[in-house]
Amino acid sequence: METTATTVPPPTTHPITARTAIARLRRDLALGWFLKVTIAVVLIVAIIGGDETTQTAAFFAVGIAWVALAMGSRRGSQLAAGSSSLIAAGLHEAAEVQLSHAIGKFSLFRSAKLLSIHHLALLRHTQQRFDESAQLSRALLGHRLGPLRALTKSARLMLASASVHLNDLPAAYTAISQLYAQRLSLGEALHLLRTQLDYESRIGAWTHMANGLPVKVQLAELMPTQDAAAVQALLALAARKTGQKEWEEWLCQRVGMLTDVGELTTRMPLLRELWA
Amino acid sequence: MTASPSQPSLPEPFLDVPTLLDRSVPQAQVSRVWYFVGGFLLVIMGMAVLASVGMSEGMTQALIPLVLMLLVGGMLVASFLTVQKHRAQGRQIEAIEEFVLLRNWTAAAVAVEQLLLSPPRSTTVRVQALIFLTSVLSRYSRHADAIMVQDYLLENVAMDPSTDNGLRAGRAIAMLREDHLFDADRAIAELRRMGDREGAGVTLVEIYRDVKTGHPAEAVQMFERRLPTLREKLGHRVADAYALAARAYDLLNREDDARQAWRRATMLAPTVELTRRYPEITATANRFGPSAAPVGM
Repeated sequence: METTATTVPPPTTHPITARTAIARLRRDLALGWFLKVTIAVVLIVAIIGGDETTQTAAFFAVGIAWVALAMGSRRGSQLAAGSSSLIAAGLHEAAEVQLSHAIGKFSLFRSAKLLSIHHLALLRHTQQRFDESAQLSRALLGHRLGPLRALTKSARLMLASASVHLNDLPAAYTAISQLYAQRLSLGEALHLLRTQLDYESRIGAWTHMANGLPVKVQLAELMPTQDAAAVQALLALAARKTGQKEWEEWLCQRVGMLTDVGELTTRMPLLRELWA
Repeated sequence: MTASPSQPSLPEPFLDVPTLLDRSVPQAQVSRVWYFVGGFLLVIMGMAVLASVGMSEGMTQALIPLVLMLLVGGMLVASFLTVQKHRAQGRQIEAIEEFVLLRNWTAAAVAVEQLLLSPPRSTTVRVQALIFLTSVLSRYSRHADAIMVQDYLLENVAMDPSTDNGLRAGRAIAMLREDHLFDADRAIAELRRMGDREGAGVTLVEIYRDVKTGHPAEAVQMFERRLPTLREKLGHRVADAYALAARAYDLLNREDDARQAWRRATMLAPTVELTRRYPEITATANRFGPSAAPVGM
């Protein structure tokens, strides 16, 4: 059948699923481990039992193979590293393409693979595909992260936030509790505050939410506009539930100056009673 | 001419911009992979030479793995140290960002100077540090120095559009603070030409220019027209727009509007911070006073 330019659809990105990405991570980590062991065994056998020619040939072959694999893997690391800035800039499709390449390509470096999975979880979280974000974060936390252990905090924050959105409150509680055992940066503490207030509002822990209001409000001021508005609205609701009228009114007025209250209550119906 | 040993050397000025720009230029780095490839080839050739001049077979057999292991070990140690240094600088930048966000300006100034007094490991770290330096300099009212850094970044570094716009808006405000009205006008025109015609940054700068140059009617018109964008993009910094609008209403003798705008501004930001950013609004601040806040805030 003849195809013309008008009938051919434009190239589309086929998003990589969380399940495929996790399967590829496992396959690559296993293959990488097997390769490293094979190389070590070849070297040991050559040193112990080989003659001069065998040893030289073995070292030469191993050296060449290692450099070739390392150079190939480096491209994957660069793709993974570059995708985070694309996600931050809102270029999700470009990030998707880079991450598909990084995850699909074999890498000798364990850290490049784990970083790709982390960034894919971040992309899915940004796209509000919380189910996949939770799956990927869980898979990442199931591995020994070694030099990438700083990612555990970010992965746990995503898992907590995604679990709250999926209404999986026990999983959210576990992730939040584990984060309390870790030293967080300011950005991470802000993310945790947002997630924790969301979680506490779902279980009705109003007194706990209303504890330390001044500090929580100051932290909210450092957040992006929509998060700042949502956090202060949740605090206003907690103030209302605990009978702190002055705080409730003050926070509601601030929220009204930051965002469209109608849009906010559509997104978070729980807040409707504040402006009823 | 050199200073005599008995003469105490003068301490370097704090946050000296030319020195920081000069001393923070990153040095060119060569990929370590090529060192490894070169070293590997040298070992192979060295062993071939040693074998040809009559070195015993046993000695060659013992030397080859030893030298290669040393080479690989050296590479691993060098990579480990490099990664550690990169991470340490990443932590330094993160700390500076936190100091700036939390308005701990003294700590931010010390940390950013310490980082820029020697070449950072990467250009990205340097650019981030220089952007934070502009915030610190503006906070200390050293607007001319801030403009110098902003000019340097805009002329020499390709940045993403959002950072570029933010930097240009910051530079235009610094120019207005320094009373460089002609330059500020040119900077605003440049900002508009770069595609940020209706953006929050350029709007805030234009409102400030109109208030500063005695055109309150234009400032009010712009504020009222673009308030939704300002609110969406500036977050709590929309307080700046409310404060400037309050001043403009005040200049137009629209007292109720001025009072309301000022109440809104001080509901989102403390008076001291607003008057420090825009000294021109002090008269309005003194006239109306801050809005009431719950005890503890």
